[in-house]
Amino acid sequence: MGQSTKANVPPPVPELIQEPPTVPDLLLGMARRVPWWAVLLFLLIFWVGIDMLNDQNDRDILDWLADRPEVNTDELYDVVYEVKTEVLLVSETVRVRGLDDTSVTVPIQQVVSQEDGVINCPEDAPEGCLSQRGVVVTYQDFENANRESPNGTVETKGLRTGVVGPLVRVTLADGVQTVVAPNDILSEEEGVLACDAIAVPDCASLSGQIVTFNRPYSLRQGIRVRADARIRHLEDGYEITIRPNRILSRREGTLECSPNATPDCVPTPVTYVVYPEKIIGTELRGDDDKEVQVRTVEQQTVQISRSRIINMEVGTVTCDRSEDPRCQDYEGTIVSVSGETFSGRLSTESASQYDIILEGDAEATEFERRDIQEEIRNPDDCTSTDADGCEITITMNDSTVAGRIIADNDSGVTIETVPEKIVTLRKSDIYSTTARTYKTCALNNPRGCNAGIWLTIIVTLSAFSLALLIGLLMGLFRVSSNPIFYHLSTFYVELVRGVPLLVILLYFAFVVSPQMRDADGIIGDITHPIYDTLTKIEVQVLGNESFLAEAVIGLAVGYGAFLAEVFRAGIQSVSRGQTEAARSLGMSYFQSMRHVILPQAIRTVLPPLGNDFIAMLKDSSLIAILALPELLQQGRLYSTRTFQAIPAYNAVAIFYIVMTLSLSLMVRAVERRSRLP
Amino acid sequence: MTSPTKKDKQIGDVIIQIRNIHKQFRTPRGVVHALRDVSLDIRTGEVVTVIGPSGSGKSTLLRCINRLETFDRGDIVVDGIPLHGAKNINRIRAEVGMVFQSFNLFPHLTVLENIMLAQRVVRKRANTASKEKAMELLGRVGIPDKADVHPSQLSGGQQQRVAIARALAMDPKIMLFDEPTSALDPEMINEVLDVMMALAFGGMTMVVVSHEMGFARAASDRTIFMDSGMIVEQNTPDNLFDNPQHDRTKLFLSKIL
Ligand SMILES: Nc1ncnc2c1ncn2[C@@H]1O[C@H](COP(=O)(O)OP(=O)(O)OP(=O)(O)O)[C@@H](O)[C@H]1O
Ligand SMILES: [Mg+2]
Repeated sequence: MGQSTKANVPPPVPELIQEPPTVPDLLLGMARRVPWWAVLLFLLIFWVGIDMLNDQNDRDILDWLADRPEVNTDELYDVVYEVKTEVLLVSETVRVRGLDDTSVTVPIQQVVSQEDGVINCPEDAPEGCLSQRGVVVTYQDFENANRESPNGTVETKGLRTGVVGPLVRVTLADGVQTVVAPNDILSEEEGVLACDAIAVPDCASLSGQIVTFNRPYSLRQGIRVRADARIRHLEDGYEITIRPNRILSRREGTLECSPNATPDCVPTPVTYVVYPEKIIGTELRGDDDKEVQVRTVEQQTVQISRSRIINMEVGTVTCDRSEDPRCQDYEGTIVSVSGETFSGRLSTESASQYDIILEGDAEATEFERRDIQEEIRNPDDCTSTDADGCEITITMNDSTVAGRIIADNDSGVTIETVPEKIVTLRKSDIYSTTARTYKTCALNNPRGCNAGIWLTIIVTLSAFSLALLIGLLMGLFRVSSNPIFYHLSTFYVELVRGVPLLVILLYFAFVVSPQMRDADGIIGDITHPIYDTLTKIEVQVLGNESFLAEAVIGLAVGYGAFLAEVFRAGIQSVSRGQTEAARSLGMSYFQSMRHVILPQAIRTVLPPLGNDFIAMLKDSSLIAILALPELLQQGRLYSTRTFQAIPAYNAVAIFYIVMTLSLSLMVRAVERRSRLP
Repeated sequence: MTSPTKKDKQIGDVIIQIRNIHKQFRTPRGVVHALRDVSLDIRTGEVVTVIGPSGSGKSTLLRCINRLETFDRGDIVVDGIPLHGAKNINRIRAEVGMVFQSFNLFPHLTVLENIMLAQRVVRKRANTASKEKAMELLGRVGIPDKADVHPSQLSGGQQQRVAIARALAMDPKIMLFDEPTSALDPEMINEVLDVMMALAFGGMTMVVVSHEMGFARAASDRTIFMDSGMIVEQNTPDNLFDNPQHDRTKLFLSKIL
């Protein structure tokens, strides 16, 4: 043919001259790309961020928001201080388990060595003896020492108290009685045996015939189970047990005799140790830079009306050491209180409890049967199933309230059952304040909102992933030529889009979920494993069973309908020619969807998907109605508890803005990236 | 120097048998009878051009050959396989390449990926093998330097050449062209026709819907004139164009010449 290929080459295009952009151009370009509202909102975020890092800011902001500088914000904090406290080491012991599985507690003085290893069963061991691996403790055993061939002896002093045949009976400094063979005795003289002032404070020393003798011991071995150090606080005198490896430093010293000790008391050599003591409480505001005041126990009061008081007497109030190891019993008042009386209509009753609709109430109140002293029914012996109803009057058990009386007037008394306790700590002693627990969520304590934010994020992410799956499937069905799939998906979309999301959530929580639970067994063992798994996940996330799964599924089903339409529109936005080209190359329906249609559709659907994600993040606040502790619910709880609606809802709103704004900027960026060249 | 012509190639056995097919489109505005009793045999190595007025059913006929469109009656046998109720239509489609008027390149993939995709997905070729094949075909259609650009950065003629390369990558036995040049600016038409002509002289079986008379005369063995869903007349291109028998053919040719 006459046409030569050369004639078809297009004339060369003059090359565009490209100059590298100048720095001001670049900066201007970047500035133009960021919208002004984003700048404004990010300033807000910045402010919250600074605020999160700075406690003082927290307080200032709350004071400013509440416009009430006198508001004390301290109760928002629970601080764990680790304070370097010097204490007296009372005893250090190792608990050792022998091969025969019996355990003994060995004072550290009797321990010869501790090292990793194995104890093997002796050859004559009874059957069932197992060799043991662990930290092998070798210790001196005095009690079961083999006197004929001991492994060694320790020079010991004791007070002669009598004779048993040829043996001499002595009492040791720690009060233990033992007998000594005459040939073990080294010397004997008149004197004073200092008692163990550490183990027994203010003990009287023993005087009389002091025997110095060789005390035989056998070496035994066992596996270390535990090591304990018993320590005594020098100022308050209370003792606690800690793990020895928490001891930071040791110092040898002497314990002087207390002024009221007997005159023959001698100063005792002792060991002082420093350990990090944990003090948990709320910090009180103080301007001192040397000391800090911490309220470790919050005061609790009870009001009792005069008519219910049976008896009041002065007595010793025992305190709960499990709450506060430093607490001490004190003189207070013990009040016997008669049980309260309630009457109403019996709603239901079971072996352990009553449900009674009290007069003036709409809903039933539960009462435990064991708390009830007396009941009167009208008519007699009526039950909750009687047609005419059953009037019931119950009297609760009598109880006692112990504490300090802080108010006493005509109407009744107010008793402080748990006295407030404030500890002053020297700042120089504070070892760390890293661990903090935050109880409440508010703008001045944003970290307290963590749980809520995390739950919001977790719920949104999981519900949206699920909604994407549902939406993609339903969207594909919506463009499917199969009439069953098409009508099924159309029905779903129209149905779900017509019902408010809130109703869908309630429906899943209170209709679908219980019905499916009940269906267990009827339609086979299908629902049971699903429920088990969902419950396990719920317990993992929230620590208890809740409506979490129902909320996630409800949100996903509700949004699935919208996403299905988004996907349908996206798929339909890809021209028919694309499918035809793909199919004409021999690709199957799914191959052409997967490789040709969906990759193009996804670019169209990305912006609406992003918008739906943001919308879902906001709509996740609806699950507050299922009492899930997400962001809004936390804010509401805080607001009702403290009556501080302003900071509570400010915090909630700001956190939503921070999240949605960051998301919408992300969506924009993704959109820019995914645009085709 | 002699350039190859259509006389250099071998015409073999019948590869496409079209037997009395009918096609009706049911639309809300009524039934369109797009194909009426069309029968046609195409042999291996034969190049058939189809001409006819708009709406005469040329595209529909072409699309029936790879069953992008189903037909109501009759049957088409492609390479021994009857299309009516064929189980594995994708296998047949892989043997029949198609080039569209509007190119239909995949815009989210680069030129190279466009050509590699079906090789990998359908032919299950390894990445390297399909890439090699793609580069070779890009060389054949004259744009080896455009491998890594996206289709939107190419001119229309270049896009159509990529589309031809994409179809050829499947090693088809038959190539269908549906007005491959009618969406192109005049100066780009020849670059596409050159590629098609080289393909035709190389012995490829081709069915081409096109009104490019130069191409039809030079490259095709037979030209078919269709009107209102029927094959009105068929002959060698020179005879058909110079000496039409039917009035409708004469009328049509007088309009396009
Ligand atoms: N998918 C469809 N639905 C309904 N009618 C259709 C469809 N495809 C084609 N038709 C009709 O079938 C008839 C034949 O169409 P076809 O596309 O085959 O014509 P054509 O010869 O290719 O015309 P053109 O030269 O315009 O491309 C036309 O009347 C057209 O309107
Ligand atoms: Mg057409």
